[in-house]
Amino acid sequence: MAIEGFLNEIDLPTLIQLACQDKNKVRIHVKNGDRQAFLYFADGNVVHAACSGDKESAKQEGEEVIYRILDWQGGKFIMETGVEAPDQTIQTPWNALLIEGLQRIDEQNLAVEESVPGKEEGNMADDLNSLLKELGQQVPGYFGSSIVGMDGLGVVVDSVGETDHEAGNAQMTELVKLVDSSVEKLNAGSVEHGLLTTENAYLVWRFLEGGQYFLSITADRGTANVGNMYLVSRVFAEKASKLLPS
Amino acid sequence: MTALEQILAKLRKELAGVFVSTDIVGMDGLSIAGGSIDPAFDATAASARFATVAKLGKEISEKLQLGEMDDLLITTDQVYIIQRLIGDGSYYWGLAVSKDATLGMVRLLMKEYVGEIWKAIPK
Repeated sequence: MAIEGFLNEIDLPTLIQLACQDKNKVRIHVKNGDRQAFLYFADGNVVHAACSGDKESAKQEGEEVIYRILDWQGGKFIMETGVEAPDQTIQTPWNALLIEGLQRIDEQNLAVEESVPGKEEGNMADDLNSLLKELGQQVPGYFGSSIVGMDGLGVVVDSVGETDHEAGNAQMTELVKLVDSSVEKLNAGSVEHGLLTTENAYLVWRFLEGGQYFLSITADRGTANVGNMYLVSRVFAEKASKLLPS
Repeated sequence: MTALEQILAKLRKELAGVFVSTDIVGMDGLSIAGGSIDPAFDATAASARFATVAKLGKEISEKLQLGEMDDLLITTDQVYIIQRLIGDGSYYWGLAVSKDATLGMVRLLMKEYVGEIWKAIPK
């Protein structure tokens, strides 16, 4: 007896489940464009699978065939009973096969989602923005903060009030670079952080891990506490380092 | 010994135990007075670079409208380096102290001495 149908009406996991519940000898012939696969069942399990027509899986047999065809979108199937398997290439129970196969599809889909251009960058920028907002809540008299690349371009900038932090990024980068090379020239160790004190503000900067970026924080001199700013800069530089590509 | 050198010697005494180096430098990068306890720590050699650092600090303060630059503190894994503009901003004073120093005290001391140093610079 043979049953024919389309995979958009009944999906492959359901077909496999039905064939296994039958406990008889069953063969399912699946066609998807130029590709085709044969699945053989006996005693309530998948015992053999083979596919052809797919460059990646030419002459493929065994479990990998199941994992591959689970991802086929659409196509036709013919389910026949009483057909003997020509070989036994699968020992894994059918439910374990399905779980593994569906997990692989999930992972594949996730990888595709992550590789969509701009998606990861978008998330990273959002995460860094949130991080600077969180940082701002930890600093009394907070004016703003930014994470700047050593090329002078701001990766993220957060500011409250009228201070335009973006405007100072290029000069800040020059300063940070020059301080670093001057300290090196002086044989004075390696720079941990810097503090610029002005009439109205404190400006603290610190390198992120790897030295490709630095974090700068500006706060009102009358309200902020330098020790607290150092601490916050250290904690948040570590957090930001984890979010940025190395 | 010039008046400027006398002031720096007095400061050095006050910072005994933590003093590393000091220099009074024109914004052209030329040092007019100073000294170091460690010959390897040659602040004069880096004074031109640090003059540019001081200029940039001043420019950033202006650009971000944060008021006049007061000082610039750099913390390394070995020392604290503090730069302070003197008088009308045509000179800066650089001071390096070991990390055993009480930073607040050092900055206070610099604030006290900066007027005296400005007066002692020949104009």
